[in-house]
Amino acid sequence: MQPLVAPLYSTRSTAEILAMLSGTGDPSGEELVRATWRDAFGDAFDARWRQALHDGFIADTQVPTVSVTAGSPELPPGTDSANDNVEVVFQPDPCVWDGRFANIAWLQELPKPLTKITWDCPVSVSPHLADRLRLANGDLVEVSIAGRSVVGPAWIMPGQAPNTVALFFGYGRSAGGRIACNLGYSAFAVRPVEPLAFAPGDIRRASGTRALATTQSHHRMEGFDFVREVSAEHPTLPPAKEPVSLYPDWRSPDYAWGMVIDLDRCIGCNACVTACNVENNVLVVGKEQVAMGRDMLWLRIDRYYEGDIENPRSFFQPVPCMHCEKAPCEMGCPVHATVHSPEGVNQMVYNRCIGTRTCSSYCPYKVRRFNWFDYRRFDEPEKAAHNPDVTVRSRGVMEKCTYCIQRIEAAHAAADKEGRRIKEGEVMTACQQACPASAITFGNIKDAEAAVTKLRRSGRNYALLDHLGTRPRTTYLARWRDDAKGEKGS
Amino acid sequence: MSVAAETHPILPPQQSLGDVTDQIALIPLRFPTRRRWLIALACSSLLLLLFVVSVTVLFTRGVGVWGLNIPINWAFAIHNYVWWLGIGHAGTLISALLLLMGREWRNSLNRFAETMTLFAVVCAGIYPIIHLGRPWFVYWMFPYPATMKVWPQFRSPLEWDIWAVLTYLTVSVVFWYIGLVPDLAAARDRARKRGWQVFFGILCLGWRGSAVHWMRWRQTYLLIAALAVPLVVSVHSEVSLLFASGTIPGWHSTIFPPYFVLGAAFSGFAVVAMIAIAIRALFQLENLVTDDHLDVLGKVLLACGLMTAYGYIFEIFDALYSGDPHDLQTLTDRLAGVYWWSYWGAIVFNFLFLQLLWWRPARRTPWVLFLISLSVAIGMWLERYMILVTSLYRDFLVSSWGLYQASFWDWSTYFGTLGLFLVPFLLVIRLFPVISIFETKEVLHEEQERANG
Repeated sequence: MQPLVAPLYSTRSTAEILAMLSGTGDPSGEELVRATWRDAFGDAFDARWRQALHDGFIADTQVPTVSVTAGSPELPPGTDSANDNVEVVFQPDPCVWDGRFANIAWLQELPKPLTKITWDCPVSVSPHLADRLRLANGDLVEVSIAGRSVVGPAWIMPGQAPNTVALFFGYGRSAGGRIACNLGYSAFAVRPVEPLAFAPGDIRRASGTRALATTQSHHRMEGFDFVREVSAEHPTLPPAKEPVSLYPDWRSPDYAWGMVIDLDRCIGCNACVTACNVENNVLVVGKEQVAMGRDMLWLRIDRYYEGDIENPRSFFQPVPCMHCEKAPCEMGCPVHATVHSPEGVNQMVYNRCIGTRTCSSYCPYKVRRFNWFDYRRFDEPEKAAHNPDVTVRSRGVMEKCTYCIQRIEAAHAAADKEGRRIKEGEVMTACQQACPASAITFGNIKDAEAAVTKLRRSGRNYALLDHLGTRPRTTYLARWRDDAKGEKGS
Repeated sequence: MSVAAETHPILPPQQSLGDVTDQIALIPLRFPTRRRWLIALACSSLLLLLFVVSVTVLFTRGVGVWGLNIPINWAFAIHNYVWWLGIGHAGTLISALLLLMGREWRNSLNRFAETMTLFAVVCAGIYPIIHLGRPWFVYWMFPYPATMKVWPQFRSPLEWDIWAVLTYLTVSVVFWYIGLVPDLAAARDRARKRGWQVFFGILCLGWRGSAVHWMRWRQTYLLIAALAVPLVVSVHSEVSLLFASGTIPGWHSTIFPPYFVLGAAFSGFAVVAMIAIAIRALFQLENLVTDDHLDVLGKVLLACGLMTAYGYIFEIFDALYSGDPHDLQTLTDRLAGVYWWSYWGAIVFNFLFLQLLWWRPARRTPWVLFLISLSVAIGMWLERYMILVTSLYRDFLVSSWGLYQASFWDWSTYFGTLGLFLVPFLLVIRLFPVISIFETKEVLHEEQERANG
């Protein structure tokens, strides 16, 4: 049986409203659905009804496959770059789409993949235009198309085509919920009827600036090797020199959890971040707190550029807790609130944390998040949105990625009950599960046959900031690059 | 400085021993400058009230009222903690170190220097408690017999901190009080009102000034002094490990312990000089805290400043010599980053005005020395800010770089601690002999003996 969530309140479903519109007095939703399927299911109605409820879907009802061929659309002529006019491109917002998800705070606080902006939509301008108009990020600009205009904060987008401006849908709402309203501008207000995707327009500087709440303030890699690359000529990275440690190695009994993130597969889509937020009850803190640098994301996707701003190379790097073997945070905590588990997970004991924040000060990866205020909300229905297996953290405690410890423990319980070991692939972290590109692999690195172990043996495997000797359990696979400029390997 | 104390009398020899006792012991008994003292107390009480309000807001709403974030987890609270503790160390150095070294000129300065230590350590000690996310659980840092059998984590520099600061506070209180006992007896003997007699009578522990009393007293005093001096070095070295134990560039350096200890002494001597000049003016004590005293203080300040400057130079050298890109990045951020003003401010306030002290008249002019000392106190405050914020705001990963701006409550808590320091300090100079009577007389006596043959 599927869990019954809707209706959350005493409201009517779409089916009920439709039935009422077509003249049925006060229908019962369940009866309507039963009636619809009674003919299709035929004689075996009761059995098939129960089966459908059990499975959550009805077999063989998928839409038939159709074959399509791409046509060659007639594109309208581009704007002349010598002209003062610019080409205004309309885009759905990457997080709230056309505004249909605008009332979901999780998505408002999700940093947009390229800009890392939250709770707002920028007017994306090319570096060329920004140069011409002397714009800095956050400067208000007015974009006008055929006599109508919107004002929004500029965002200089590296690599954007010279004479283009991009506007994003999904914002500037005056109705539709507490979360959705009064944020950003409405791109619909200037969108022409034809063509729908782009139009020639004007951009000029408006007076004032608006502070944008971003989760990453600096986007150039500054010559560091956070994201490493290999090429066909040098398919393996040089071997890492691991600094010695004064502390003895940990003894892991049966399991040693580890994660490998393939940077070549990551597309920066944010699915892992959202999955993590939902799984781990990551709290939303609002625009002002994000602007102050207090977002609570346990997993962030770092976004880097390298090279010419007009045509940069760009990188994504998901950064969860590294679960270091030699964790600087564990050494710093005076009360044993962050400790090493026998299975190598760097754990946070929320109940024990007194909030000295030493762990975060010492963390070279800055993956820890602190509850500066009491960010919890106990009103309905938010309470129902929380994962019951994960503590909702209170004011004054530190938190961070746990490798979805609740899932590891559930797998332990299941395995213990059946008197067996945890199987390869039995524990999936939320981020791993959500990744559409299978960039994240998780498992027991003591199992020589586990996928994660094999990847850790790969020549592309490296640890972030390995020269610090933290020995992370989370490692990365270097990106492939097409030209021959990869790192010189062995 | 030894030359000044041995060949040239530091106290004017024409005053009698009895005059000195009267002059100092009668300050609490017939308080001479009530008006100015009351004004000072009123202003300080306002600051103390500000502290109470700030901490109430902090406790009610959470540490988020400060401007902190990730990556700048620590700023005002920890930097003021280090600043106050550093100031405190000079009191111990003046009292204990110079006592052990037989430098008698310290006898005019040690009482208020020790008092300063006491309350500076209180101000320092309160910060690591109020800065906690959940301050009501501060007792978890102590090894008490918890039912869950959880111990504190002894590898943590914060745990060492608790012990260091508490030990230091205890030893400072004991040292201050033992040094005070003979003077409390002198005040008791001169008190005319019953209340004062009982007050000082109880506090002086039945001191009668017998030879055995003096012998026992001297032994104890020297023993505690011998305990206190290494504590200055160990406590502030330990404080520096709070930073040096972390991996963060700009912190992770073996130069930190001596660098911090010298900086502490530097800022502390500056505050001692300020207090000496203020008290001397307030109670007309020019005959006991003489220009020669200021001269010596000026020289000590200059010496400490130059040693601290040496630390600055070696910090830069370290970064350049290591060639580590992250260390070099932090160095550039300090010299030319957003917080450049904290680095260059520290250089200017600490070392530029300080150079005036090479010049003898500057050391002997109270207001010049006062202003230079004030500049050093500000400079060292900026230095601690610089060490914390410029290291944290850009650590390793470019993606986690951030900025810090102190909030109203950051500032109000800090100014509040000035009240927390000044109110008890003013009460002490109201209630107790502000300068050590018998030790001053000892110097005076020796000088008179020497003068007479």
